[in-house]
Amino acid sequence: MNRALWVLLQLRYRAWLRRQSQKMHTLRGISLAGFGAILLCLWILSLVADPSVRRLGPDSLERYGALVLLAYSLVVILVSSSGKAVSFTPAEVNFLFSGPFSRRGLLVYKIITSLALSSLSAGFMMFLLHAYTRLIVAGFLGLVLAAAFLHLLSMAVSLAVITLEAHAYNRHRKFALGALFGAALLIVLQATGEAFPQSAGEFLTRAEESPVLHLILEPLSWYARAFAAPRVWPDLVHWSLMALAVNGVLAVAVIGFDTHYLEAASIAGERVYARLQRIRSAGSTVQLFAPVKGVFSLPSLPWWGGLGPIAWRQLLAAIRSVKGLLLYLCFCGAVLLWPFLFEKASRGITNLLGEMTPAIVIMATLFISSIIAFDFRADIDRIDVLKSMPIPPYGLAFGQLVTPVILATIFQLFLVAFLAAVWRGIGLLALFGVIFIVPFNVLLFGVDNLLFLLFPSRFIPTPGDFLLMGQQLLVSVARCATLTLMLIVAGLPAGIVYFVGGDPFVLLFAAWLGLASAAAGLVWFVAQAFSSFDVARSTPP
Amino acid sequence: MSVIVEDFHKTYGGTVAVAGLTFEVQGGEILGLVGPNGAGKTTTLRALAGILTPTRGRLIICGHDLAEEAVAAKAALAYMPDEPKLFDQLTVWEHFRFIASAYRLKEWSARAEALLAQFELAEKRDTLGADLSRGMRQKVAICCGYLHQPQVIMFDEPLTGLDPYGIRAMNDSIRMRAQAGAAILISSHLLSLVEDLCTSVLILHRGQQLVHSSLADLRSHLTESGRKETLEDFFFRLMEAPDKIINSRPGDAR
Repeated sequence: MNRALWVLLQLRYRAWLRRQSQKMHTLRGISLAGFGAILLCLWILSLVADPSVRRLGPDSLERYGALVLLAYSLVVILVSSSGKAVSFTPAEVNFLFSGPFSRRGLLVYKIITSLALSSLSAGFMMFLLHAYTRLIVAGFLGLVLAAAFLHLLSMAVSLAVITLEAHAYNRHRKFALGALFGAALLIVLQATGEAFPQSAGEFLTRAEESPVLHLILEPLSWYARAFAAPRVWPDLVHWSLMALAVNGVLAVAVIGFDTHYLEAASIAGERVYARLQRIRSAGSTVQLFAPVKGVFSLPSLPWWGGLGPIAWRQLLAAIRSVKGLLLYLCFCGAVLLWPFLFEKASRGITNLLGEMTPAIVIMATLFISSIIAFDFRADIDRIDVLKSMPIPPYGLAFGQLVTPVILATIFQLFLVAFLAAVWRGIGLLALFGVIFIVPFNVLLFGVDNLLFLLFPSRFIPTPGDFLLMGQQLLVSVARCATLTLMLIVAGLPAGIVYFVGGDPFVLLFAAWLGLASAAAGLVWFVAQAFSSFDVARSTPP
Repeated sequence: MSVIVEDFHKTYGGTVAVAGLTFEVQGGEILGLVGPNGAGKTTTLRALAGILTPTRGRLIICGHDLAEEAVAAKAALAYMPDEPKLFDQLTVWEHFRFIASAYRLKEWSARAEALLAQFELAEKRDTLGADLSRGMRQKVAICCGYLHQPQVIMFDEPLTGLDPYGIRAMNDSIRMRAQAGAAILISSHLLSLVEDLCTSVLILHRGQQLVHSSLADLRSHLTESGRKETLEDFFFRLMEAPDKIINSRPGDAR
């Protein structure tokens, strides 16, 4: 590799260190980094001390690790679209592609940067998977080798894709998928034999005996054996050298691809960078997907004190992000409801779950809050545009909250309807809870936006950014505290009515009024935070 | 008077971005804000647009004090930043709809169509903001700024990213708006543009005002002193010893 590329790697590493240290120059930076470090230590301790994880242990990893790696490899092959794994950042495209560097030299540079990042990730993953390893060093090395294997495989597939024409690739991919399907079918047939297996464990045991799968899994099992090695010598050295040899073959294949990948790589790089920029700017992974073109528009809303135009704009943005939104909301719904559907078999807890509907709905809303961030959080780079508009801050703040409140309400009503359908009737509490949904949502998103305007941050953290971790921890604590405080304030009128001994409907009305008033009051605070937001100083880099 | 700036200060912690700026811009006047990087040009424009709050001083737009009547002041102005920030999910026409709604405009469609034609954007009418090139985004931002016919227009590096046709359309439109009575402020490093387009110039250095003069006065002053200088020559001569001017002639140093 060209010496200048080594210098660049060195400079980038120094820049990362410098950026981290610069943040520590203030009391705020030191405090937040301290919180981040504490959070990390607590997380690691909770993992190390959790006895439930130890049930599986290194033996199961040795047995199933290769299968997991095979599944990952298949995903890598399937998702490796043209040039994605060899994408470069716009700055790299600008300086390196037109510079005096060979294509192979740039590939080596890319491999090294990918390895450096995967080593950092392996450090974190090591703690997550510590229960499956016998030696810390073996676990770390095994993870680094496996991550390198996946990177190299992805690069090899991407380069193969670039080499072939798109049409040819599609045909080849279909052929490859057909071959994979055939192999899988062969394995299944061999595994099932005469009688259908009684359990997943039995199926895996039989599948392992299949010679086809055995052949595929053998080299992958070397990574698992290196990870779970009991001794440095000879186990770790032996298996890690074997895994390294596989990686070496892949690396030689990647570098040996003397293909004109630069154009495809720069296009892929631009695409990846544009996605990252969208997420960074909009503050939500929904923006991973480009805006949908050609969908219907919305009629303009009336002025309503400035609320109308702002809400219209965010609603339109939400409609244009429908692809990502639906995907994420369905995913969240499935994740949240799956355990409850599973537990449905147990009739004893049915009534309890029915009564728990409000709690489920609140949990779900907290969960999806960052996904439907069509508010100030999505406008971090456009606060100056909003500030220069002739719209009063209160109207603007209210307008910004309309879209997430509407989206959350629709999601919650679907959730309540679903739960009601599953348990054939929901608790009385949940039924009354529906009328509180809108003011509660205003309160929730008001708190989220207030904290965001007071402590703005980007959605995408950089690896090892303790300061950001600390800030996010603090914001989470502040979010819970503010929400609790607001709910207490909101509950005061209802409390007074309760002690006076008023009618249940008056009590309900007082509770609703209290919540609505607290929500309206909070919007005023959001408006004040927006007014005092200093775009020159508060906008995060 | 369209724009009045009185004793404007802006500081960030210990850093002084602008110190004691005082000037006025009348309707029909085109003021060029000139200065090296970090002189305080963008800070001044952003404060005048109501984006930044002054540390001290008064900013008045068309008779409305920005500190007291922010909404009324903002309704009369348009600010076009150096980096056009469009809404990615909105089409070009939907940007106009949004601006029309935010500025409470009626009968704006014909004007929007004319702007699209003037800036050669007619074909991009239904294109999403995310799909536009840098130059196109700049043009859309300019059209959005013009749509509500502001009395005060502020440009921060207006020609960046524009093609020759765009530059010509931009220059013509600025002159037309000024002739129609709008007060215009342009921050630019292109001194030839300032000399060609502006009627007056304000030269800043490290947040302080070095020179504030009409270009006609400046030219006659330079001729009287026996120098045949362009604005560029004058600017570089000024920058050789800016502190001397600040110390000897605070405020208007003409």
